[in-house]
Amino acid sequence: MYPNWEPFISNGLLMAIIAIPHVFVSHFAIGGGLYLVLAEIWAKRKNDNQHLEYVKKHSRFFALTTLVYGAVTGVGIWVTIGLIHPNGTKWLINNYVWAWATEWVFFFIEIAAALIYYYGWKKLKSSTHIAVGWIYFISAWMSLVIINGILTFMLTPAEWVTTGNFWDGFLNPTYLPSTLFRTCIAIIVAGLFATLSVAKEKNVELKIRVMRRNGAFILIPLLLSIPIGIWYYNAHPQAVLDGFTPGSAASIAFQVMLFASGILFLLTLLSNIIFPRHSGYVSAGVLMMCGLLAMGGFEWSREAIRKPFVIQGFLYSNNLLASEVPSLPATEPLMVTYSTGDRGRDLYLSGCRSCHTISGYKSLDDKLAGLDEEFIANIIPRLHLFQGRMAPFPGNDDDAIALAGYLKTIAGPDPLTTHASLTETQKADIVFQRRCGGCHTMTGFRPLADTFEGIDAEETEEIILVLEDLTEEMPPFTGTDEELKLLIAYLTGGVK
Amino acid sequence: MIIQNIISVIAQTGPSMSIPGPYWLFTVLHWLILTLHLLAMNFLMGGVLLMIMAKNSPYRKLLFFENIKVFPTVMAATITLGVAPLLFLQVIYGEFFYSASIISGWQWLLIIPVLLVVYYLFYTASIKKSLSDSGRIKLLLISLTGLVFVSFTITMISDLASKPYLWAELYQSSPSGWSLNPSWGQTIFRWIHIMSGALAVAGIIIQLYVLYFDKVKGNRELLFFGGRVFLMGVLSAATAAVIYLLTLEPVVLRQFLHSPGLHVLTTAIVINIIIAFLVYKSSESLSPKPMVLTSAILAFVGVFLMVMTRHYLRLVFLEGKFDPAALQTSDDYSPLIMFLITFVIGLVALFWMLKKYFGSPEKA
Repeated sequence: MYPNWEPFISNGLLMAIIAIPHVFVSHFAIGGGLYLVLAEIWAKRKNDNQHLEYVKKHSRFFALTTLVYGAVTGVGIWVTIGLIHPNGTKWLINNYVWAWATEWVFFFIEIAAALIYYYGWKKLKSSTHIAVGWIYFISAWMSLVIINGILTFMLTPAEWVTTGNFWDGFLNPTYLPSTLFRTCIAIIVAGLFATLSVAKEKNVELKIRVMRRNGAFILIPLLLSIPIGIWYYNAHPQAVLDGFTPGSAASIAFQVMLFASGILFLLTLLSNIIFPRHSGYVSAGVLMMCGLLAMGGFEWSREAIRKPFVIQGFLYSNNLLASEVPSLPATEPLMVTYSTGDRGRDLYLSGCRSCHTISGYKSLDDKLAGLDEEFIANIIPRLHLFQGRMAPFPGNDDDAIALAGYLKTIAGPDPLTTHASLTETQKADIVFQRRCGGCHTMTGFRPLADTFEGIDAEETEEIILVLEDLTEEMPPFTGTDEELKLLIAYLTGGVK
Repeated sequence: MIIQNIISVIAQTGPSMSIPGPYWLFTVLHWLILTLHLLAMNFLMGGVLLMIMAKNSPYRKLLFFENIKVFPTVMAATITLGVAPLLFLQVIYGEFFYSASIISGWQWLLIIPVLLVVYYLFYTASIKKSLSDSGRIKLLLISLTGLVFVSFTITMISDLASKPYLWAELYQSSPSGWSLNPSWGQTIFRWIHIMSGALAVAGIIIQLYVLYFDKVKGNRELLFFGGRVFLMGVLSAATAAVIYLLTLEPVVLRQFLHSPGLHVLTTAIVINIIIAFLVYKSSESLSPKPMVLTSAILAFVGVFLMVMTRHYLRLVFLEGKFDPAALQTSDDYSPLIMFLITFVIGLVALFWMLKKYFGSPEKA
């Protein structure tokens, strides 16, 4: 097994910082190719030299953005996934290396065609230049067609999980709708970048024409993406869609995507179609931000609903294989090849760090604040029961104790003792959240309201003190007397 | 029989970590594309180095505009050609490569923003007409610094990947990825060898300019300069290589000298001697074209052989810990066929585009 990298920011956030701008630009690289070649054809057919000059200028902007930023950050994604999840990356590489190699060929042609197109305005005759433009677009789109097989495989690997067959995973249920959905995104993003590059055009008549054409480039695929998006959404298995629980990161990101797309539609209508003369950098910038938000929301929600898996239904984020789950709880200690010198920290790095940080994104210090070591050790083997989709713990009982020891050291201060101004209601809520809230709510997920309805404080206390006897899934209550009182008050309806 | 021993085919009964093709195929593809990557990198680094070194010489003016225009394109080629070898390397040596890169995680990750800056600087130096010559040189100097960092990082991590015995301690000292390869005193000679090789290749490329680029066509002074640069580069590379080999642990060196790597290295040395002879003769010859072209082809072969030597040295380092020939292979070759078909289509498209671009001028 590999060393576990512990950068100062969370793995997910690091990935998002590199990946979201990259996918935005890489989609521009695809749609922008189509935009350029169509714009060139239109301009030449109408002998519109002004428009042609604009297309030439745009091609430089296009080359500088996609060839440099797009290409280098693409390598950046690859570097990052190898650092944050080498085991998952190795599974992907070993199973899909030829898909990646095929995508590399298209990428190579794409780069060569982009350079020849950019440098070839004066050197190539018109038909050859347009042909190079088509070669660029087709190879760029084909690189999407290929890489999308791997991307969608990670979320919906379908029969691959049992057969291991390349095509079962590649041509998975979400492959086709996702490819079409991303094609729409690529065209939208091309329209957004083209709107930005024409924003300072001094020739008003040309600006209005190009703005309106760019508007069509944004609005038509945006409308098309609605039915395709619904098809794409429905192609996911229910187990995946269950990740859209209210308030979850996936759900919020999905709403951001919908909201930003709606705003994008309205603003494009206003700035590109109705008032193109008055559009400038500000409006183009706002459109870009909406596009980036929509795309970020889409990518984030896609990544979030895959959790706690790296490959859905096959490999968990903590490197546990789904096929190993039936043999849990483990009897042997979890093997950690590269040690920090602290067994508890090693277990944290291999079991938790893939998704969590101590005090950053998806932090643990606040969630562990005020919990005793015994309770932490008891909930670790039950993590898979948590709401919010946690991976099962792959270690044995001793590992859970060692991990709990480490987690106790990173836990934040107990708000019950550090926040003197808290009301009894607030204190009770805190206690409920940390002692029961991982797996229960009062009225939503695994609700407790009905269970405790009509039960008085004395009976509630009796129940709380024998939780472990009720079912194996419940850990014993190990809180303080004050916590016990507050919890009883909360459960018996004193506090809701 | 030998092939059967090398390829251990297993039936596909579920997801597995078996490699989807024979080990030798990944190795040959790795060698081939890495050679192309190194040649592009050599052109870039050697070219920039020359532009800076030849600051006040008459050669610079001759080279300046031809070279600077192509740097962004060569940079694109260097990056793109660097991706595939890294991919094939990960299939076979992923365990080693990932571990080493995690140990020096931040150094490894830093190459991305550095590459981004270098790439944009090359474009600026190439297309910004208002820049003075000295301004361009300054940009190139910064780019060179970035390239030095990237190449040194890759060399250090590649070296660390073949020394698993160093990992545990390095990781323990910094799980957050701030550890650097401690054997840099040894590895720096490997890096100097690569950089000197870049200079040598740049020398050959100058000679190719003299054959094909109008502004410098037939310039004997430049032809001589290219030859001198090659000799300087190849001698430095040879010296650095000898020092590097001598700094290896005796047991590693002994094993290497008993491996196929010795034969490959010997052939590479012979080839470089032939190139040296050809570049010397070409600067005196009235028709240098055949000699320059032969040198260029032999330079490709020379770099290819150095890549092979590197491979055999890695196997020596990993002996007893890892045998790539023992990796299990899956029996589904359909994805490989998809790649090969795409590869052929890609080559045809590339050839057609290059022919149109570099062929007889078309009326735009």
